[in-house]
Amino acid sequence: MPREAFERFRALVLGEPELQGQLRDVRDPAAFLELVVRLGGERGCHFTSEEVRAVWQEARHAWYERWP
Amino acid sequence: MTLEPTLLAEWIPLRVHAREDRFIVEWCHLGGERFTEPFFDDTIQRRLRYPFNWLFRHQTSLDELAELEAKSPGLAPTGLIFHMSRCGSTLLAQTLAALPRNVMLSEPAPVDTVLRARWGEATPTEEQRIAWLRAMVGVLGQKRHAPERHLFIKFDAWALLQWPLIERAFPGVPWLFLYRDPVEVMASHLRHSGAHMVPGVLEPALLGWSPEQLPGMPREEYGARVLASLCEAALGAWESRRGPARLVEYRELPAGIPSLYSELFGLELSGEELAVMREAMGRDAKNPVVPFEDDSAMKQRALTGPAREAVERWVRPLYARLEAARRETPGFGL
Repeated sequence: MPREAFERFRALVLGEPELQGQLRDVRDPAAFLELVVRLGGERGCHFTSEEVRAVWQEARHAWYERWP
Repeated sequence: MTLEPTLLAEWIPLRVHAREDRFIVEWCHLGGERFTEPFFDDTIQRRLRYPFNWLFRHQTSLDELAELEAKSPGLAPTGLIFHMSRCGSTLLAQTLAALPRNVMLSEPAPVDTVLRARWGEATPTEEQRIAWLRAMVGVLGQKRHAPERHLFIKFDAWALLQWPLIERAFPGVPWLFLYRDPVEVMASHLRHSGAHMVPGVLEPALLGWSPEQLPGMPREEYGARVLASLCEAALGAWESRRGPARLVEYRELPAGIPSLYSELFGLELSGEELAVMREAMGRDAKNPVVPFEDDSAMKQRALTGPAREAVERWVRPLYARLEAARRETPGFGL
């Protein structure tokens, strides 16, 4: 289950400031997605950049629907 | 998930949303940024340029947020800024944000959500809301940089409609209400309407209205009556004030700003700080790359017809009462 794999990676990142440090200042979307996939894979969390992009789109959608 | 209090130094709540029977707070990585943009939301938008902040957010309940704040209290608020919208409040916020010793929270959305929190049929009690409001302000108003000593909150214009609750949350904290000739305020809203001027955005109960009053009400009348409600709330707060407070008219800005800060907030400014603040005063507050221009005459000419009539009928008498009250107070003012 790729989504489950990404959620496991998300939990890992939120618990590890060092891992956050590798990701948070990357501005370029393509480079960021590639890095997320690589760092996830290194920790046994296997998902594709398209799957991460879909999670990102969901977050954007939820954000722009937020108010009032 | 439970956050370590040390993480408060780098993360901030960016939104609160209802999920089933409780509120979830989403936290965004703030890094070393200060709140220097015209609005809190601008700072958040800047953070959202980084993909990380879309995908990696901590989540807590509001009660967990309150626990965190209790372990690591934020700066005590130095001053609260209320306003009738489009009257120079962003200029005030920008002059305060310009000084590194100030943390300036300018209309933070999570504070608005906590103030207006509802879910389904249930409504949080006033005690809950006060606790959450204090906790949210405390978390947003953490001391994140060495020079920071003061915390200021500029609320959304409609927050004053809940003045009794805010006063209970922050008793005795100096506050001001900034207002402007309502013709000029309305002219600005006609060009680009604020959220509160759109019928249905604010809960009618917040304005003291029943939902049946809304259908068929002309847009101009609605907007004028919202502005009137804000002025009325300010007068109520002023007349029942128990701590330091000021009524400030737009025309007093920017020249009166340094003495206002000194007398109301006890903010004595060094020569260097005055220079930094004057620099901020010379810029358009909402678009700091553009120099400030007084557009009162243009706005006075721009407002005609039903909008002008509605302003004169609903808002003018309250503006006159505010002006009378302001002139009765010694010290600052034209």
